[in-house]
Amino acid sequence: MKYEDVALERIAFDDSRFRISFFFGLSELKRSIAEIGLINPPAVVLRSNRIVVVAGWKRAEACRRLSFPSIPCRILEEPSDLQAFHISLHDNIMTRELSICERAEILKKLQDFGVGEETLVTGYLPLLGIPATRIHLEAHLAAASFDSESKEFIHEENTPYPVLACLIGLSRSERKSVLPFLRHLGRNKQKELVEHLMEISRRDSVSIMSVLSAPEIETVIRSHFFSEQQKAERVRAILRRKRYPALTATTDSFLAAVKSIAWPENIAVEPPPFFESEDVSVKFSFRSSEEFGKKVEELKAVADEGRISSLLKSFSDD
Amino acid sequence: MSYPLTDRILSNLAHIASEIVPDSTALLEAIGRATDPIGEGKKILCITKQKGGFIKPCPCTSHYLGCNYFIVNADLNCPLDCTYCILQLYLSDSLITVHANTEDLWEQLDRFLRMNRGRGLRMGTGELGDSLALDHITGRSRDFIAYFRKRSSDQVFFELKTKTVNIENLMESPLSDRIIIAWSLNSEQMARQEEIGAPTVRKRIEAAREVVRKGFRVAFHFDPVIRYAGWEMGYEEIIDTLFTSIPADRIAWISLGSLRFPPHLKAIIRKRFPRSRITDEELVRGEDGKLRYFKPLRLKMYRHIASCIKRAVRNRVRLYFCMESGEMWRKVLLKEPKGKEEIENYLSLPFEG
Repeated sequence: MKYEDVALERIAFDDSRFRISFFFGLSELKRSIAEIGLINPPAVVLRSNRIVVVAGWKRAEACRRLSFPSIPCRILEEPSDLQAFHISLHDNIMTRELSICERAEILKKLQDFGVGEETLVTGYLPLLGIPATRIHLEAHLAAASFDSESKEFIHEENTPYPVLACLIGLSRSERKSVLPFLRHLGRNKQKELVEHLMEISRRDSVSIMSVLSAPEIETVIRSHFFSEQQKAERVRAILRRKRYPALTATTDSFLAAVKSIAWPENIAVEPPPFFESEDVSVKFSFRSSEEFGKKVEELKAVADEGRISSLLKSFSDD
Repeated sequence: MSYPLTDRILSNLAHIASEIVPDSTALLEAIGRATDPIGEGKKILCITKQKGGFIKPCPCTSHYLGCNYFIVNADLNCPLDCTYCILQLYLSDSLITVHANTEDLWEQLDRFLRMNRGRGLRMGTGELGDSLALDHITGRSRDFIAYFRKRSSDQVFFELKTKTVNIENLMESPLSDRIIIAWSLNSEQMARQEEIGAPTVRKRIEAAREVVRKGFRVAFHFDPVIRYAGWEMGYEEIIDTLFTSIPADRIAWISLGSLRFPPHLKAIIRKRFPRSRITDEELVRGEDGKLRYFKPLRLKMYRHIASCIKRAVRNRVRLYFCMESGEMWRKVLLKEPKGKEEIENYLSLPFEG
């Protein structure tokens, strides 16, 4: 293994053939290197008289930004790009957790370096902690072909596979329209929003852009009153209504019926889940038998008013 | 494996390459790596031995009423490729499997019938596969008919349920009043779009008519009933065709069941059948965790279909639900069974004529 001091101006930072990380902050690393120097030299390889970084992009870039004239580098002698890339691969997977975006990038590069599909599935997916199926390979390769903005989102959000699988179904312009909402939602809500968008689009035979251009959604987007998170939640709720019109109408009817009844304090009234059964639930807490008895009496008074039947009718099909 | 059924199958498939595979692990791994493992599995017929029990209670679901049906796992999986098929999720491997140790099957059936003497039983082979799809290769229907011809005094109905028109062996077999030949039906549009590889529903009804003329009793399963634009007319038309073709007194029972599946099947359907729209309707979680149409939508479908059926045959045909709530029974069929035993008794009553 050979080590050499390499002038930074000789390093081809525009050659990213081995690079798997594109979105990273450098301030902490710069501070560390400025204080104690470069401990772990990047690995480089000579290609057509150019010095190309194989592993240690962040370290090399940090040193460039610190205006180092040169840095020690480990000079690799691997004749092929694939062999050199293996070094970068193992350097990364052994030392840190890779994001889904980075795993996608690795698979794309391996494919570009000539690794066949079968080997990618049986050999590399397990190495990257990905289920060894063609479906997962295709999903990751599709993600590697995303535009930069989408990749950055996936990387920053550490988007899990189920959400990625949804995003793959969107075109670039559709993702561009959706990402601003997704940034302000948790993962489950991200998945729900994208799924609902796609399902409404398919069900109604309209484009996703059409769905997002609905007047009620445009009103929310253009509003100056809502924060970005509030906008995201409102759009999610609108899409839910569109996706489940009958369910949301029934829910509204039930809630209106609940509201019309003067319930005792601290009583929770819940419909059957998805209104599948006929059972409404009433919940309350108590700390003494007196408290319990009082609540029961109050509920009995509600029943005597005759309003319960209208509550039950609010979601009945009779 | 030297079973007579194996020899029969290999003889019927002499033109197709076969191989003895002592350990299927490598094969299943290779299929698992395919882009469409389920589709790949359907290209392979595996003849093996059923090491466990053939007979099991139908995997009905909690919170909804079952009918005490028993399934006989003679063969697993199916060469058809229905988009909604639960076997895409349910079976641990995707090969079409024939269990060739038929003598063990007869012994288990003997024991089962003995243990349940005096009880009206309904059982069949069409739950984890199609009872007749491979009948031209296996000749299973002949075997079952021969078995049940010797048990005409047993209180059992054995159902061969299919979406095919593979009735040649039936037409050449003697009759058994214990055997019911059943067809899964749908609207023609849904059959065309979602039941890939299956003949048209009209052809299935024509096959049923032939089988009735031969002397068998038949049954029909409108399952799954699917919502789509124009569903009312679609189901009306096929019900009309059914009852102009089949006399009501030759129909053992008709079941109704709406589209339902575990949530995990949704991604499989979307991936394997990207043009299918069945997952885009208003499906919500039922009490058993399966996705079903939102109840009012389901109720509307059932009411329409049940009224079409009743208009044609009044109460001359036993109509029941598969995996539905007591509420649905009450609101559509105007009776709410106390439990699955009541449904079992109702459906296994002897027929007149």
